[in-house]
Amino acid sequence: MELELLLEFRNTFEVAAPLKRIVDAVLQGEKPYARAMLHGFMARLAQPEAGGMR
Amino acid sequence: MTSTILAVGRAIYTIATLDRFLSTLLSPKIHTADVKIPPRPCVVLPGQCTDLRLGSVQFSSSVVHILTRVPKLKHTRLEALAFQAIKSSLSESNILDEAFSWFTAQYGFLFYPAVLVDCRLLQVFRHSTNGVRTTPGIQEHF
Repeated sequence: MELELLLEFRNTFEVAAPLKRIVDAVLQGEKPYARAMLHGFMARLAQPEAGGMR
Repeated sequence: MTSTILAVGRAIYTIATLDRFLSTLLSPKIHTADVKIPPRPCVVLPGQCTDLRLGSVQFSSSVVHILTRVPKLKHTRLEALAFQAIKSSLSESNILDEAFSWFTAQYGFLFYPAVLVDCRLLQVFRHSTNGVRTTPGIQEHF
């Protein structure tokens, strides 16, 4: 559910602006529990149906 | 010494309140249609806030959500109410914090694999070594 909504709102300012800070926090180990969500988010973005440049 | 007494007092009060809540939950007399679970505030840990009122007892919808996952307390109606309360609290302003929160990692999206029926995602979760605790309920879906 959260992942679906995150993908749905990914282009909004509220999500896009602080996304780098959150991703940095996960990558630096500050949020070890959120790694699966980051993996899932990236995997879903990589899917063709996620949209973006072809 | 005073702080110890206060801590013990708080612990006793918490246990007594939880016991009342659980006995209410398990009681066949309860009509869950009357239970109102307000939306969960952004990024809370279980037990951090009290936003469910059940009689005179208040509990977080996060706590109710977790409790309904316990097999002995399995309560479909209450679980649905807690899920709806959590879902209705999510918006574009808080979804980022919520998605990467501790609560979501433990009890959130992984418990709803119906929306994640995707072999590539499940492979990712299976090989994720840190932060994801694979529960028996999740293993069924792998």
